Amino acid sequence: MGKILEAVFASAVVATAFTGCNTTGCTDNQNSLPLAGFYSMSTKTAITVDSIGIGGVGRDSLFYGPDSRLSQVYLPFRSQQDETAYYIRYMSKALDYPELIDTLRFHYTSQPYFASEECGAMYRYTITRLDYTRHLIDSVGIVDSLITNAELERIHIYFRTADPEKPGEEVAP
Amino acid sequence: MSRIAKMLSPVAAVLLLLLTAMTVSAQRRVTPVTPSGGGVQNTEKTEIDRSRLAEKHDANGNIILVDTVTGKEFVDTTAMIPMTKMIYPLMDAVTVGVNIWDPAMRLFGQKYGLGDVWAELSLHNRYKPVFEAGIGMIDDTPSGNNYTFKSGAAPYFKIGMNYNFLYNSTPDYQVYAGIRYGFTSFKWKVENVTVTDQYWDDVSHITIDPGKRSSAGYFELVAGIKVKIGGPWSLGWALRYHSILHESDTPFGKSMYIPGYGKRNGAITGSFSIMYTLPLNKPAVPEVDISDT
Repeated sequence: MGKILEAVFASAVVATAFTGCNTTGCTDNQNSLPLAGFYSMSTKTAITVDSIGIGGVGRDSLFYGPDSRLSQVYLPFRSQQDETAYYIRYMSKALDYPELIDTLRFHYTSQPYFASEECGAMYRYTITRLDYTRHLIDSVGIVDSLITNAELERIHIYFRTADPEKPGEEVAP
Repeated sequence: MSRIAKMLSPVAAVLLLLLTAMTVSAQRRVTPVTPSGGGVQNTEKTEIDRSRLAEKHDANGNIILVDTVTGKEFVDTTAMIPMTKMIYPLMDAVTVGVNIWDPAMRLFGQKYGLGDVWAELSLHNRYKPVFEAGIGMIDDTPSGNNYTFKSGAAPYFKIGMNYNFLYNSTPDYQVYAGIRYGFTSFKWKVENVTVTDQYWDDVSHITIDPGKRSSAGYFELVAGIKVKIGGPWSLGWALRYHSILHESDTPFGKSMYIPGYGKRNGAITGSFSIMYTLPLNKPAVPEVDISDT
């Protein structure tokens, strides 16, 4: 019996050493977060936008900003609602007017989802519709309507940007 | 004359007997002396005209060179396939075992698995078809995470084969490698899920229950040893590398635990078995020297 117990103990120690190497941790997000990137409509390239603030419609506090310099933003959806709206406020001196604030309203369905042992359980969202204003935003593209916890840019926001060769033709946020 | 012949005949018989005995004796004698260099040696070689040789294979796969003119056959001894002898009979033994890996690991904090039993048929003590059946379950709340993962007791089955590298040694000690295919059908759910939207101050508590059964198939590569501890009883350790071959998918995600496989994020696991071996053949009875007393 002593032999068996020794063998069990030795095996368990070896196994613990092996299985201890298995956990890699959550390499993605622990929630499904829509990631939006900023692009120039004229050049179709990624841009960084100065002096902006982003907040949820209905919330007093800003989610980003004020005066942030951003090229990508997370726009988390409300899991208990079927729509979530964000506003973008341009805070540079020339553009800081309430009438220039842009709004994005996402309509979606949500699905409870178990991602993995490390990342846990969460909701996944499928965007069904998107409404937005076009003050400084030219257009918004949805790369993939399924929003998961993978750190991938699913939304492209195209801004009307000034063309350096034709100054004054377009607005530069 | 006939009288003389009668007198000589016993002498001739004795001489004949002596000559015969000497001849037989001479044939049995072996001379360990190397012939001297001056002796006549047969330097004639059997020449083989290789252009006349046709190559054939016999039933054992050996190359046979056939002289197409004379019909003589030569075995190509350099290309002979060595025959492996099997010491043990085809139906050698049956071994049954209890894998107590998971119960043992539970003592060290593992939150899943129950155990399994298996049976193995030893063919020539070399090839060993194996069948395993077990029950797996999980009830785990990983620390620092937002859920409790549960799967009730569910059966799993594995079928495969081991190859004993020490097949011509005593079966008491074995070093083997093997392969398995495992299959299971089970239900799972995730309870006490807390989803927090920090910016929106929304907190929701949900349960994820796919409802229907999931299934999964996987393979394992096994390497292990078996050691006799006394009588028909042995202990066995094995390391197992495994990978999922197929599994059912649901809109709710995939199970983090698969009965018989363990957690999906682990590529290596193990087994530890207590086993009982039942020989199918009586050991050879030693020959008894029967002599007149």
